[in-house]
Amino acid sequence: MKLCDIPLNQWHSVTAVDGAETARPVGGQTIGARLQALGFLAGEPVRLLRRSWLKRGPLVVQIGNATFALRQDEARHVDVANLVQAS
Amino acid sequence: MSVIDVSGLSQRRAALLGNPNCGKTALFNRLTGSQQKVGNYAGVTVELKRGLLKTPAGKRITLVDLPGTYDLVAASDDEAVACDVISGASLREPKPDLVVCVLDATRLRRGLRLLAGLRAQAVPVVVVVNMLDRLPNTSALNLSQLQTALGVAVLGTVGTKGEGMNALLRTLDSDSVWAGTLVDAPNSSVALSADAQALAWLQAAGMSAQTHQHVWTQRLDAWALNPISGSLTLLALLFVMFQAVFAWAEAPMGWIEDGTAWVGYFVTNVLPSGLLHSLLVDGIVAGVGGVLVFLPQILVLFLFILVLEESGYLPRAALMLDRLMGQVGLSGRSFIPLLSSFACAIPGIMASRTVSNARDRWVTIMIAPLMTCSARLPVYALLIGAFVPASSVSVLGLGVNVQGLVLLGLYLLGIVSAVVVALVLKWQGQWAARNTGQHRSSSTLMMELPDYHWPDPRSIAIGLWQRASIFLRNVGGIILSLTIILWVLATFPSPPEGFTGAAIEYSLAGRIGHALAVVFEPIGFNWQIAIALIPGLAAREVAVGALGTVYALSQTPDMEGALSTVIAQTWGLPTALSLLIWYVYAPQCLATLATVRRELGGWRAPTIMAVYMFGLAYAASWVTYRLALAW
Repeated sequence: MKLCDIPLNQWHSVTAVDGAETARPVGGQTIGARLQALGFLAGEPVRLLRRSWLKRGPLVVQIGNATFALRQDEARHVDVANLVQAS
Repeated sequence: MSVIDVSGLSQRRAALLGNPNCGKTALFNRLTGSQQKVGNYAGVTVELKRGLLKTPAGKRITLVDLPGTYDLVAASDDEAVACDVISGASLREPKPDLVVCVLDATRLRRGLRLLAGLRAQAVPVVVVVNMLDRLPNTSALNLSQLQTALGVAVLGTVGTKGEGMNALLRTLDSDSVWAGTLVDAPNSSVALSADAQALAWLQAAGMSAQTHQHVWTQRLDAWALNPISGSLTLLALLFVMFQAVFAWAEAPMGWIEDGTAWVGYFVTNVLPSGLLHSLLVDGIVAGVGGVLVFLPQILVLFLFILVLEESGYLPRAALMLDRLMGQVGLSGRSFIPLLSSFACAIPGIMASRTVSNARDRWVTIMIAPLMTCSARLPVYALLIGAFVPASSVSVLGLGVNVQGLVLLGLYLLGIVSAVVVALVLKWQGQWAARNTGQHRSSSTLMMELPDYHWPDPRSIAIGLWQRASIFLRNVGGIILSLTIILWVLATFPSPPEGFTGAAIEYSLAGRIGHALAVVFEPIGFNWQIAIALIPGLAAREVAVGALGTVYALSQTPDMEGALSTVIAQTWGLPTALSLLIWYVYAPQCLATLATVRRELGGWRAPTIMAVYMFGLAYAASWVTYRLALAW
């Protein structure tokens, strides 16, 4: 499952971050590598706090203890699995 | 690296490293207090800040505040500054003798990852666990165990309250910390990844990576990020900000005006009239006093910007505006540089380093000067004060200051123009991409929304003090010297006997003004304004001082009083409107163009910027002047 597709306010766990994607580097890093630097690491609990009004807008994501705003296509780089009823 | 401390005079350098929003700057302010070397520009930390501190044993240490970073592989130019300093690759700052790594107590794992990146740097480290007051349950954090696990000194602090500062200063006194390096993962000979190392450290310290939620942040975000209440909040904040600029600054401005007038009278009474008298009263008092009076308004504006920045609201505003900015081909990330540009375009342009997409950054820099910088405030305030009645209108039963409303309108005009320019640049970019067949990479957001904080009054005070000192330094330096030069130009050569009219018309400045007036006559500017525009290129607020000097010198006895009274009597409304509009687009101060050249490299970008803004200013003023005349 991709992070951008999960329902709101349900805890999931990061399974993988697609770090191979090289088409869109951010500074010296790929998006995947940048996400990992921000804390999107395998095993981290993650949930969607807010989805934009209009479908294509940015998402608000809680990862571990931190909150980030991500674009949909950025969140697509993060694979997640359902966590057993954590919240 | 060996540090030989001879007679305690050699200065050691320590650098503050940490994630963004870990309270590093509050800590820096606490440690160095007023002993900071003020950089040229306040604003979001993209530049290095240096400060001096003295330990209890009398050691003097230079402390460097680095921009916040998530890891030691830079993703944007502002992070690169931090990485280069730590690795010793920076040309502007030597490798520090000690890194003080600041961790957010509620986000230890992330901070420890950054700390793990320091293993490869072979630099002495002291670890500070900051924001202890944010921990719901302090018993879960055992600092002495963490110290054992890490092998370097670990201290707990609350930067905003100053707790733990003395312990930190005492630690810096001990020679051992300047030699301590990190311990690798316990019982491991294999080099671990940064995150594995962070977890190993946590485990060795007997701590788990606990989840923490700041309840108030979630509650406030439910309001502030809601599309309807969030947009209304943002609009209301901006509205209150511009109202306050006029309302709160009124009394102190009156005191400064009275003070200036008193100095003028004093000089008039003490000195016989003559050249020196004219230089002091018409040149310096009229010019410098005319600019100084706007200090309160600038401080009110900065008070709002600093509070919004400190409280953690700014990234939320950026998020709210991301969709809007997306329409014009920018990302929400461009919002923070653009908001800084309301203070001054220069830190705004430097803050654009946080925009990682090159094209976005270029567009952001191009439109940044359209955000109304505080240097334009004196010009606006002078004209609005002279031509807009200081009355209130009732809106929904609330008294709204009309002058504040006009000011808000001018700011909005700048923003709308920026949107239009960005749109044009977007279409131009798409057209160019189609022609070259290149696909434009889209921009990224990936922006942290930090917990809300009560702004630290001390940090706000230091920020305001820095702003005031920069302004006063400008007044004392560039504005004073330009005012004197202008006075000389406006006084010499003195007119021959029998010259009718004010002496200034015969002077060099008068002649230059009359020559330029040909160009500016179609947009309603008289020769006095034309003169004032030239020093206004150095810094926009100088234009006000210059007008003060020019009018002080061309005054006839029946036309006396403060500058605003004089221009209200002598200019028509169309001229005033035209000049207001001119300054919405006014070609940059030269310092902005120099910054653009430095940030983007080469003369192409500053040339494009100067030409397009000059063109816009002339066109918009022409339209305004003609419309106002016809009406």
